[in-house]
Amino acid sequence: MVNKAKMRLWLMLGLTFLVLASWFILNIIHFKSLSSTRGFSSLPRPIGREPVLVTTIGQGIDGLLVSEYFRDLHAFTAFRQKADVDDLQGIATLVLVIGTEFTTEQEVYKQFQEELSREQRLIAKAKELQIPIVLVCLRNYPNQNRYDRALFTNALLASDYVLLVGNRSMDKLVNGYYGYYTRVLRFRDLKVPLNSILR
Amino acid sequence: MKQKILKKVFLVIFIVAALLLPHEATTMARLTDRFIIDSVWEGQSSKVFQAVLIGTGYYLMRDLGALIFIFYFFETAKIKSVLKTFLAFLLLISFYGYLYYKFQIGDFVFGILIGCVLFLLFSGLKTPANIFWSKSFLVLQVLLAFSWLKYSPFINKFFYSFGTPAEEVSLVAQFYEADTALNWITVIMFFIIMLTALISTLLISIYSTQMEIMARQKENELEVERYRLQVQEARVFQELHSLVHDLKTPLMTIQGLSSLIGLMVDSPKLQEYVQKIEQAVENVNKMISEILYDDVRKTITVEELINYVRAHVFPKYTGQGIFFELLDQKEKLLINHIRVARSLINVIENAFAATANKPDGKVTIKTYKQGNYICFEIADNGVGIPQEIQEEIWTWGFSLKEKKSGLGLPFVKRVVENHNGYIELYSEVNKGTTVKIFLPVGEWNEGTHN
Repeated sequence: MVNKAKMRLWLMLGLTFLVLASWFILNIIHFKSLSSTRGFSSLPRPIGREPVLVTTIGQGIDGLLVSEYFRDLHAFTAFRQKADVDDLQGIATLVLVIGTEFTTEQEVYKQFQEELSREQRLIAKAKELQIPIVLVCLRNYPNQNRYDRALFTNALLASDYVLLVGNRSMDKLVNGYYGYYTRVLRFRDLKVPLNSILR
Repeated sequence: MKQKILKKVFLVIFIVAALLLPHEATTMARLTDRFIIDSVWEGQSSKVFQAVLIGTGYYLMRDLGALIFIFYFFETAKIKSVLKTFLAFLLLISFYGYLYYKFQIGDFVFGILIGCVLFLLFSGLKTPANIFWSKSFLVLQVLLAFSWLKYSPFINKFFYSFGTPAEEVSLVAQFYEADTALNWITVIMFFIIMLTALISTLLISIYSTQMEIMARQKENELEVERYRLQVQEARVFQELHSLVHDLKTPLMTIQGLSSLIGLMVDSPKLQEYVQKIEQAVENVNKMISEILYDDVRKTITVEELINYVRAHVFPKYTGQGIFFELLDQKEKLLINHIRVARSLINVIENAFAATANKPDGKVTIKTYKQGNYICFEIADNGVGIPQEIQEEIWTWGFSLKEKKSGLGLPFVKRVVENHNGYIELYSEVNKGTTVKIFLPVGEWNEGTHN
């Protein structure tokens, strides 16, 4: 007993190729159009000093990578995955890196609430201590993920400098923000604007 | 049967995996994230590549469970094909929707793209009916290929997925400035695995075509064998006819000479003997006529027919018992008693063969009147006949035993039908078989054709 094929084999292979090729080409065209950039700008003058505290809002890997870049730049940097107000003692610049990667052992929404309140506490204390805040976002998550969007929006207006990595679709995240803002296309280009914060 | 049970068990495992693994897979993903973070701390880029290798297996089981379940549903659901396709894709979207709602993991494009590719591959595939394993293997290969592609920093964004470890791996690869290498590795792996998937598809298709051709050939061979047996049977009957017909010549000589002896002798004792010889010759003559001509009929009681049959059947194996429950024995039948008796003997001998290896083998013969018919019921507690071949046993040349012609039961059927009767068969494997032969009640009158 053999089930008949619903279409010819060569037609099936051709259609499979066509689906994959068109998916690929359309995406390339789409991202190519978004990738246009007029070059990236750095800060006109440094806004921060060392030591720098880097923390991830959302428990992703992003904060660690940014802190590693600061280390490459020979900046006196501390990285705390879950930094709180006590960690701000003696710190001259606060870098908040948005990137949610919640653990599954707890309720996701509960973890989000905890991260949001930690972010609010840090911002309030930094303002109190007059520490400049730099907001960094390495991925397009705020456009896709409601938790990232909330964490990003919450910190946006309190930030002194916003650094984004990605294509033009990220520009809409900073609508209504009138502070310093830099967007770079590739992750490795981040070093220049990071350096401009301190020097 | 075993295969079917095994298939069901695996399907249940896949469904459970699809339902439970989103949580487990996400936990595993987070553990690998820690692994990546450690590698960054220690400055070992090789660990990131190890993470890629582990990472391809992250969600593999989760997606595999979902996709196999969905495509199994697609294959087996007995609804319109358009509705079936729609429902299968709806299930797929619901699954990834659940992931987004529950874990903020966006894998829609990934899932739907794989769904489309698998749908196309399956549509062009000529498959044997029980292809569950081959198809599951195909799903696994396609899934594995696309999982690799997800780790390419260049292609990763084409999936519009977020919250997956693949994104973190590509981010770390960019950090180490190893994104070009990772792009190449993932694309090469994708092509290799996809190529094997396509080759598997072609092989399954070729295998199925071969199976179809073989099945057709086997059917043709069986048909030829049936024709051969029919021709053989016709020849055997022809020879038998000639042989029986030839018997008539010496019988005529015996009859003529005994009449002559009757005229020549005066002794009343000898004349009585001569008359008996003539009567016996007459009987043999009639029997020959019945053997030669199917439409020769004779009125006979059920009792006479059963006595004739009893004289010809004996249990062949020790421990077998034959029991009679005979009712309505005085009823008359207008039949070719030689052929009908032969038919009953055939069925009884089959019952003996079926109970051959049973220590409590039992064959029961019943007769009773049912409406205008006399029923000859032959029941045994033997091996039984499987349901799927109960129709075939009446076909010329079909036999379950080696060195058997397969002519016995078709002969029974033909004889019964020629007498305007019918047969009923009830059988269950390892429980026994009951054959009921119904013959119309009737006797000779003026209008009866001989």
